[in-house]
Amino acid sequence: MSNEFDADVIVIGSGALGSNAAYTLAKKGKSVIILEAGEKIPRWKIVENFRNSSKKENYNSPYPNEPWAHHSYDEQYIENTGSFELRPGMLKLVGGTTWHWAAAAWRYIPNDMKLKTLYGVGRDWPMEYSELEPYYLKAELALGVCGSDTEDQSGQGGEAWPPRSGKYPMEPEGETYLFQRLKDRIGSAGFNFIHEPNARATRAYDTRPACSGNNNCMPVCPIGAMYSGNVHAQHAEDEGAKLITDATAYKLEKGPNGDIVAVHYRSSKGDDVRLTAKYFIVAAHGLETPKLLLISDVANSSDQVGRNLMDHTGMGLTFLADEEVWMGRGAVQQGGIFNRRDGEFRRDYAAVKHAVSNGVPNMKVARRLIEQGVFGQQLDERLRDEASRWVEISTVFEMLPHQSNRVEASTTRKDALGIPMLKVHYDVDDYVKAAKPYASADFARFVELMGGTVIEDDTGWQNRDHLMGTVIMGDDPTDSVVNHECRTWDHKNLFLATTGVIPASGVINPTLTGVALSIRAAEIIDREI
Amino acid sequence: MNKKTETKSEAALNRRHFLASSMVLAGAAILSPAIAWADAASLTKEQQAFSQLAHFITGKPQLDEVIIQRAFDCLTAGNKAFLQQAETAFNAIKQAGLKSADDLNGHALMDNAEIAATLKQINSAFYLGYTGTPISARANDNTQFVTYTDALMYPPTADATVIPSYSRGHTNYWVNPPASLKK
Repeated sequence: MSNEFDADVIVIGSGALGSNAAYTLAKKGKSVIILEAGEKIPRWKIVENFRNSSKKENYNSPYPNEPWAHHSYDEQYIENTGSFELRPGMLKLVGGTTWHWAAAAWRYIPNDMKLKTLYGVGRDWPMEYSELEPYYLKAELALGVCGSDTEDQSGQGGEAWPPRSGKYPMEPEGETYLFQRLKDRIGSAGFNFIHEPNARATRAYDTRPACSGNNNCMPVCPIGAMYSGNVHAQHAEDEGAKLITDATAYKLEKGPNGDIVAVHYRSSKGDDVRLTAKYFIVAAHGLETPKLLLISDVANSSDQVGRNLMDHTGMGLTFLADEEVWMGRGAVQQGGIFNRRDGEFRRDYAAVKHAVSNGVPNMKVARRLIEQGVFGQQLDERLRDEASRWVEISTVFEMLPHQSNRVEASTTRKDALGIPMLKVHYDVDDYVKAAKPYASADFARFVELMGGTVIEDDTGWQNRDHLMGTVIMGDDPTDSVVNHECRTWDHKNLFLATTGVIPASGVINPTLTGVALSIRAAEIIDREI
Repeated sequence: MNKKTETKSEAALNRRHFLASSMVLAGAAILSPAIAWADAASLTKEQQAFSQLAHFITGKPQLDEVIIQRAFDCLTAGNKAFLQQAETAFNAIKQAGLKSADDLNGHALMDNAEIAATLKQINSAFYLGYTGTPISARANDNTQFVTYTDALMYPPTADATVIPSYSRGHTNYWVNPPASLKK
């Protein structure tokens, strides 16, 4: 460790992105400190919390919600001022929100990264897919992703896409019976079903066992077959990184030459600590990262910090098929229908992804029947019948970046440490609304093809917990926060490891992309130190 | 029961009515509770009456007495009027001459909103494993834990799907349909 600094690099946040960056640097011999606002909690405790919770469908419920480290469902954590209540399910503990992410590990396709050039809407990425591709591969190796090397993930029914320089680390899991039946009947009408690459082990991988179908990826995989950020937090520690928990960063300190010279953190025990480093990586998720920049008054010469907030705002479909399909066998999701992932239509309305849900549906089925006043043997019989035919589709829409959709530091709410909480303004845009009729038409067709009976097909807009855009990446310092390296324009030693850098949302879960960008940023830092 | 606000005489009245109702109901229609763990002598009359009502509503003679008492505690703690509502439901079932839970399906008794709500609350506690109403995306609501692995919503599909987090399978077992569907 340097005599002049507390560490070569300080990483703020121990989620999948921060931990992968920390591990990459520690493995290369750099001294690394990881600051985590929450605590390190063993898996068995989280599993027991889940099993003893009265809120089984609330994915934050088994996780800590401390006055100094709130999870995002705390009533005071986010003050919403827009027409949509944005309330993503974010966690604060070692490993971060990937404790309950269901492990979808998609790559963007090249066209997703040229939205403005190709379709005249939104923003382009400031880099080519080919520049990111090697890091996608590294991220897939780190997370232990299983996937198909032969499918056209753009959903157009063509050859394998997007381009890959290597195979997925693991072969895909077998297709669930549910997926087989939907694929057979809905797919035959021209809907392209695509396997979802995912970070669940299909054989022993790294420290993880193979998935055995506990059907509990959210809120917690009981055996750790599903990747969570705690894996690389531990790997980073094993490589010599120092992990400090109960350490909420509240200030990035600027030096005279514009570099960041220190981070200040506070603990629940009253400690107030200043740490110095050569480089800093903020990896505190897509809402907390911009908040820390804003309250530190750094990296915001563009006035874009906190703006351009995007989620894959979604809607859902539930119906009963005319045959037994048995949702709930295997992992909680496996893939979906991707025909609307890309095309000229994106000039006019949002891309759409329909994902097939696969959680054991008994809670929803039983609750509905009980509410209908069904009792006794009839309840048991109908419960079995409907659970066997229950189908859920979870749909997401591509959102565009807007200046008015933003996160700010709250001016009225502070946590127990005296640090401001979050204020969010979010409106679903016309680009998404224009796509809704197409998604609804798909819904009707799915139901028809399955001889189905609709339970619910108009849910209203829903959260999807995919935070993007809030520290947006670009090639112009006047309208973006970071460059293609995830380096802030304003401070050459400050990098951001968050999906908040993503400038064009597409329709896929952004975590793998975030990890790829974080590993890339760490390698850049490594070369410069 | 809210001990802070209820007078002794009111409480006594509730106990007498509830007990009387349950004895009549038990004699007319349902099985006596199979007390597996708890000492019946240590239970209040209301708890014993609730146990019989729970057996009747769920149609399950083998309910775990510990879970019954947990459901009782949750329902009474969450609603100070619960005991009175349960007694009303008891009387209604008795007067209607119902013989089993299945008799409740489509019965006119369910047209009474308060009775229907009470019966559903009890049924829900045992089938879903919690009482109260969940509020999505919030840290706090009025739900209370009753049971997980003994929730009655799971046995009807136990041959085909797991209780989440308790896998009984192995990697890729899911490529096949449940045995009940195999040709």
